[in-house]
Formats: sequence, C-alpha cells, structure tokens
Amino acid sequence: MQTLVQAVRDWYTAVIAQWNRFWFSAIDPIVLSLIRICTGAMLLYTHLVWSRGLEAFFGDDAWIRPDVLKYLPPRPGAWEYFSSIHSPTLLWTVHIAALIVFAMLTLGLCSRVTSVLSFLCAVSYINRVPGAQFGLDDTEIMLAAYLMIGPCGACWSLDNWLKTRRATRQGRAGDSATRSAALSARATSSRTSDPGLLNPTYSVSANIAIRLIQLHMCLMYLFAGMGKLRGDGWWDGTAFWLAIANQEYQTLDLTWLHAHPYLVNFLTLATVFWETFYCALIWPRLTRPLMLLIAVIVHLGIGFGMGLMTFGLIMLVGNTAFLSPTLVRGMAARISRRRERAGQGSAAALTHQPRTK
Amino acid sequence: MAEILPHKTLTAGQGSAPVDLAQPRPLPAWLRMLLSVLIVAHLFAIVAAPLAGPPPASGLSQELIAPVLPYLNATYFNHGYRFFAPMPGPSHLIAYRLEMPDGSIREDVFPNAKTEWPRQWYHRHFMLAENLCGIWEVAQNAILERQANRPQAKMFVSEVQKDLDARVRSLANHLLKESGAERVTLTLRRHYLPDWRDIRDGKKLDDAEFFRTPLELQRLSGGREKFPVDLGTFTPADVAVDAKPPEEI
Repeated sequence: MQTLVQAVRDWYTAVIAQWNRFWFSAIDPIVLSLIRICTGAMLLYTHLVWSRGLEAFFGDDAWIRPDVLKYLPPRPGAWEYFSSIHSPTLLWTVHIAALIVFAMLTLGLCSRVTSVLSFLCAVSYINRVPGAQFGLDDTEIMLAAYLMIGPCGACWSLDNWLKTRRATRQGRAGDSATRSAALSARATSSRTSDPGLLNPTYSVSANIAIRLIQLHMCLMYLFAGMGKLRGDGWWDGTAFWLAIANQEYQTLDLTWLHAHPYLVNFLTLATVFWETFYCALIWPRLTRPLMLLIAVIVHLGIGFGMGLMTFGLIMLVGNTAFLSPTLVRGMAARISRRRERAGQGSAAALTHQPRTK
Repeated sequence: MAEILPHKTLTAGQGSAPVDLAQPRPLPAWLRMLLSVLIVAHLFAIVAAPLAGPPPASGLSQELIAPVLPYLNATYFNHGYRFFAPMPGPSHLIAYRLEMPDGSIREDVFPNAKTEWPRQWYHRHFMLAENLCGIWEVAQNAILERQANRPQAKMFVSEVQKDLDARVRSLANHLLKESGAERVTLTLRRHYLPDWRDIRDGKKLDDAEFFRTPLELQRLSGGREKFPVDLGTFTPADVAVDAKPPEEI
C-alpha cells in the first residue's frame, strides 16, 4: 500500500514539475516579437481593406445595419462600439485611429499598450459585422489576444530601439556605472546580431503567450480535423475535389485534377490526417519540421488556390509559435550579416568607382 | 514547486538562444498557483467552445459552455473551427434587381469577384451571402420542426425568421440607399458543385445547370430545396428602420 502511495506521490510531483516547466520557464521573447510583427501587419492590412467601403459595413445603412443586431441569437458578453457611431466623420476618425494603433503594434511602438488596444479594436470591428466574419478573424484575434500577455515588443521594435538610444545617450553623459551598462547592452546587441537593439531578457510571460498560441493552434486543427471526420467526402477521398470545384473560392484552376482521382483521394486523406494529428505530432522534435512543412504547403495552397491568402498567412503566423528561438535568432543574425556585407560591398564599390570624366 | 529549469532543457521549439540574455527571477509559488488557475480556466473555456457548437453538440457541452459564454463572446474566442467541415458545400450568391427612378433596370450579384477587390473585400461579401443562406436553412429546418409539433419549435421559428427577415431587409435597404433605386428584388442562388465526371465530360463550373436545384434533389428534400429562392421585393418604405416589425418570410 505504501508503495502505491509513494508511486502516486512521485507521479504528482512529476506532473507539477512538468507543468511548471511547460508554463513558467523563461524564454527568449524573439519568437513572440516575430509574431507581433506579422500579426500587426496582418491586422493593419485586413482592417485597411475595410476602408474600401467603411460605411457599407459599419455605417447606419450598412449591409447589416445596427438595428439588425438585436434580432441575432443572444451573444452574452459580446460588445462593439461601432453601433453607437452615427456620424461618418467620427466613423472614419475611429477607423484611422485603429489603423494607427495596428501600425504602432507592427513597429513595436508602445507595444504593451498598443497590443491591448489592437485586440480591443479588432474585436469591436468583427462583432459589428455578423455574417461577414471568417476563419481569418478567429485566428487574427486569437493571436492579438495572446500578444497582450507577453513582452511582444522586446525585440525588433521601436520601443527597443528607443531604449537603446536612451541608454547610449545616458552612457555618454553619465557616470562610469551607466556607461558600462550601456556598453554591456551594446555588446549583447552585437552578439545577438541586432545592431541598435538593446538586449531583451528571458521572459516567463513570453513563454505563457507562446504556449497559449501553440495550444490554441492544436485545438483549431484538432476540431477542424474532427469536424471533417463527419463528412463522407473526407472518407471517400472526394472532398478535395469539392473544394477545388467551387468557383466562388477558386483563384487557381485545379479542375484538371479530374484526370487524377487517386491524387485527389490522397490530398483529401492527407489533409484530414494532418489536421487531426497535428496536435500530437507537432511536439516531438522528429515530426515537428514535417508538420510545419505541411502547414506551409496547405496554407499557401489555400491562399493561392482558393483566394484565401490572408487566412493562409495568419495560420502560418500561428504556426511560427512552434519555431525555436535559436532558429529565429540564427536566421536574423544571418540576414543581418548579409546586409552588413552588402553594405560594405557597396561602400567599397562606390569608393573604387572609376571616374567617367 | 519544482525549480525553474534552465531554458536548454525545455521541450522542442522552446530551445535556448545562444546568447546570454538576462534571466528573470523565478516566479513565486503563489503567483504560479494563481496563473495556473487562470490558465486552466482559459483552457477549459476555449475547449468548451468548439465542443458546444456548431451543431450537433451534446447536452453536457451546452451545460459546460454556459458559465464561460460571456468570457468567450467578450474575447471573440467562441468558435467551432469546422473549416470546410463536415463537407465543402456549394456556395451561395445573392442576385439583385434594381428598378431605377428613370425606369431602367440594373441587375447584379454579390459576391462579385469582378467588382469587389481586393480579394478580402470580395470575401466579406461572399460571407454575407453564405451566412444569409445558413440562416435561411435554419429557418427551413425550424419550420419542419414546428410542423412535427416539436416542443419550443414555434418560438424558435419565430426568432430565427425575425433574424432572417431583419437581415434581408437590411441588405435591401443598403442596396436601395447605395443605388438610389425605387425597388429592389433579392434572390438567393446556390451554386452546386459539379462532379469530376461533369468536368471530364466538358461541362464548365459556371454552366447554368449548376445554379438550379436538380429535380431529383427537389424530390428527395420534399420540395424544401428549390433554388433560386425569392427573398422578396422591397421599396424604401418597406425597409426603413423599424418601419415594420420583422416577420416570417
């Protein structure tokens, strides 16, 4: 009996240790910063598109005008501020302000504040247009929500650039301690190949944000896969054909696949398998690259073939949560070194330019 | 509580960067406990959402989601994530006919890839048509439920048809205001998906036959599925805000 109790106790201790390690380890916030840039840019673009006819979706005579919202099925907790805006001038002002917020988030300016504002703005837009939402909005707002949790402006941000500049200035003017701190910041900055960007710190909240994105991506794919298991076409291998034979989605004519039914069958089954097992196979080091490679193929395929490029891209942004910080930092360093070499090369070329006269 | 482990020991994807970034102090146990409770509550909510909808969903799922529904709606996390499931279905379009004050007629359809660009703008219009059809289908099914004398069906029919009617009037209002037309007629069209054999035999995706419900399908659905569907003709007086309470179509 004592052995059993001890075994249970050991198991409990191990679970708690794993839980703490999974959620509360501190990580390099570089991946979260990358997600900030991509999500911010997507938020900016997708909301800029509303400018094409802002009043057609948010005005008093919109496709779905404000008075219709009261006939919708009850949505306790749902909120938005557009219904109370009746002046076109104010509507445009609010819209432009939101675009500025999204641009600031992308650039990493006041990122702690703009991440919260971006989330609030994005939710308000989408709750005002019931019936016009699609998968893009689900993922975009999910990412915006989790960006609020961690230091998404820790790297590659104007916040960081301004912080570095301030530290350097203080270092020049200040006492020896401040100077040495500024020098240390610069040294780390050069080691991380982030010239001009102050070193970030490892962060527990960045880890929590990344973990939540990872789990949410798993959840999305799992239910997308399980939902498909109810459809005969995903079993008999014809569902992929139905997707490419839909003219309203089609941006690339793949109907020539009618001559290759087995290929259609394979693509159908591969999609279901990948979506259903993503939540398990994305974690082991061995299968993760394969799952990410398939994600790139599937989402770019959806983007180019079905005209859902924004949806495809935002899903890929969600997948970047599974990239290792080492890889991201290594790639950034390589790009930075290449840029430096190119800069030196062009400077040298300018110096040695033969005179024409 | 376990000691916070060095970053290098983490699972895949959380590997350490080869730079000596500053390490924060480990979180105190009480904070980890509090955060754990919040994380578990959040995970519970985001799992409950796709379990509870779209239909079919178990009674248990419906009960589980009830307490977290306000949180899910407020954060826009209330989704089922059934992309192209259970089957990629036919798409829907709304055709409209505008009678202009000078007696001329203008006809168009949305979504319309030729006039709605960029693609995302087209897609927003596409979703409007898809969504309207979804509600139309729910209304059709609700009518059947009422005919079968199912409990609560009558109230549900009334609610869903008010929703449908309000949306149709809103679309009509928008088209009238935007064009200055005196009258608009709306038609819901379904674009059926051709079989691969159809394309092999030389048919095109936009052949007229793919916009009409096949007779066999009409028979099988007991006449319920019969596209195109006439959504009605409206004048500006019909669609004014609260000019007339929404009613069954």
